[in-house]
Amino acid sequence: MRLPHRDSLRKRLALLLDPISGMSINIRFFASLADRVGMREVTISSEGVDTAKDVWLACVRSMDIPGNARVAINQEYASFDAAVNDGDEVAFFPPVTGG
Amino acid sequence: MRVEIIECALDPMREVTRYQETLPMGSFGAMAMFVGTMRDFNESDAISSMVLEHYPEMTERHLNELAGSVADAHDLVELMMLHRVGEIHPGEPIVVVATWSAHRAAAFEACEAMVEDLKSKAPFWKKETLTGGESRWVEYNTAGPRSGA
Repeated sequence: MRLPHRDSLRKRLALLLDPISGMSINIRFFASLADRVGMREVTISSEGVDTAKDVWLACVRSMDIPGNARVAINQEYASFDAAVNDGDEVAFFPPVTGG
Repeated sequence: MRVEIIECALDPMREVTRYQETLPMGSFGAMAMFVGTMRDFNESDAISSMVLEHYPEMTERHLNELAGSVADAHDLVELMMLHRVGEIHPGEPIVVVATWSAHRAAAFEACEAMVEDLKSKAPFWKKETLTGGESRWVEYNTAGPRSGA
């Protein structure tokens, strides 16, 4: 049985949170990286934000990107140089340890 | 295909047996199964419990894509992939992968391919609690059997 792919309510919420420009990016942090940056989810304006690296710099000013950090854009692995667009969800997390 | 993220304890043998009973008799000639179980030790420390965090939307997507690609690549008859999240205790299963195919090579190879992908790409993270009460994130998984490590 195929799992249902959930529609991202967070994206809709993010757009509501930025009613003037309507341009926002939802950011999520997981596991030890969430502990290190002290947040799990935040929404920022997408103005002036072109890449995943820009997203990090816009919301985590106290810490450089850890060397082992991974990034996903809209639930797919990406590079820190990958382009981000209005309405995207960008996630940062450490190396995975499941299985 | 059965692909699920499970938040409560599971019985691998029962799950696999029940699923296999739904398959047409004689439709496969081989079945391979892997069960990953929580140890009560890690890095020389005694562990009392563990919490498995995941990125739900990405995990669901990743596991479904993985299952589809492996099933196609190995021409499987069927596959099952179950992965726990939430609080887990030593001895409890964490992951169950089972593959059914016409011949043994495909079943073995597909099973291993899925397990290695789960260990290296699927967005799950383990946070373990030591018997003394301290908790810590597991920072890396052990290398796979064909990594050369």
